[in-house]
Amino acid sequence: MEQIELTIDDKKVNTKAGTKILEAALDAEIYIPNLCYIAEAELPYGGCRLCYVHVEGRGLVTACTLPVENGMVVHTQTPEVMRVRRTAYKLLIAYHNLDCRACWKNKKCDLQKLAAKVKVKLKRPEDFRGLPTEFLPLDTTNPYITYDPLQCIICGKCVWVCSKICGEPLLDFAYRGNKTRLTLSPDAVLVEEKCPSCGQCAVVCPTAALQPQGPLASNEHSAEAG
Amino acid sequence: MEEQNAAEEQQIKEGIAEILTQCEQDRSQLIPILQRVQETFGYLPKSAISEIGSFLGMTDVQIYGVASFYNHFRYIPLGKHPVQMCMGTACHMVGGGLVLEALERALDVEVGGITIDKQFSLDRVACIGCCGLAPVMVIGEKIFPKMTSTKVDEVLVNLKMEEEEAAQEETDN
Ligand code: SF4
Ligand code: FES
Ligand code: FES
Repeated sequence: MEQIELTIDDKKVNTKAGTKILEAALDAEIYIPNLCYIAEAELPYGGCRLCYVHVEGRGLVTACTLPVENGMVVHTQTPEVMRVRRTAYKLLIAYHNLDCRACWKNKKCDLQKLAAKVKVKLKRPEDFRGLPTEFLPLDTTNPYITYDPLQCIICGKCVWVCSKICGEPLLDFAYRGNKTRLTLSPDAVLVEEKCPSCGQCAVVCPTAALQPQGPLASNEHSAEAG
Repeated sequence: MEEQNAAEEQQIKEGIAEILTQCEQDRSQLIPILQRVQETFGYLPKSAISEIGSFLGMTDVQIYGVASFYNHFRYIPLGKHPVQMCMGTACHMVGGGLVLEALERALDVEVGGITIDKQFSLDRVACIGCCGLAPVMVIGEKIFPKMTSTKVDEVLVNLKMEEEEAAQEETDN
């Protein structure tokens, strides 16, 4: 495999050809915010836009999609980079229900943890001007998992993991624009037939959008206790 | 009722099978297939989604994901009298919303729904191109200009009366 040498934040980094900037940086212990990146995925999803970096001669690029090149010079902390990351983050939480203290995923939520890294203050629920809940109602059709579109950042991780485990996605996105949401299944019967109820979608979910229910919820509980 | 449903299901199944025999078994054909199904039935029946899924080797959610991207597709049948209320800019400005609310009340359905007797379905549409007549309502092929919420009942009652008369005539002949 061809070796590539590039510079990330003044640090010389050696890596294999084909590696994405994000991966190279993380391996070299340079942190770049990311929420939708999956190391094993064949194709980058590039949906969260948090991983913006500045590449000399190219400008702003998403680090999870661009492969490294010899002699590339990457900056991960310029004011411009920080600004677009912050904007990207604000877009992710634009209609997110930010009642973090009351949320079941409080302190275990990747989205919440990232706020400090991109220097955004999570405002209290009084400031929450989200979409009305009837616009994006809670989905309870799956007995093992509930889905709250208001907490979802459309990162695609659950869809990826589901199709990896089941060979085909039993959940996928539907609709478009700010109404985009996950469909657990248009038909609940199918879920019971096909879904192995492995709960992996909820494990990879960086937010509180997918919440394990019933047997899955108690599993998690006992795992934590034991 | 139950028998009727079973017969309907059967009919849908056959219809879909028929359509699928004329289609290429390729994912790129998904949208044309969906369009033909909707042309035939007026909506995308649930069973159609899974039939198309097994035909193209896709899961239900994948098909639903594609279909739901487009406003064009619907998942419940049209009523015998499809009611459409224009919510384009002009109609909206002169009280289209009030008429729509009145329709919801009078028919006892929500937008996008169908009445229990399957007579009326209610939808909102964007500008239908005759803004001078705003607010505009369309039932089937017929246009009702300058609607107001108070005219809603009148229109619906007239429609029902016309139907009854037609039915009467039929039995007379
Ligand atoms: S449910 Fe979670 S994992 Fe799935 S797209 Fe939404 S945020 Fe991502
Ligand atoms: S990690 Fe690059 S866009 Fe989400
Ligand atoms: S806005 Fe209603 S017809 Fe144009």
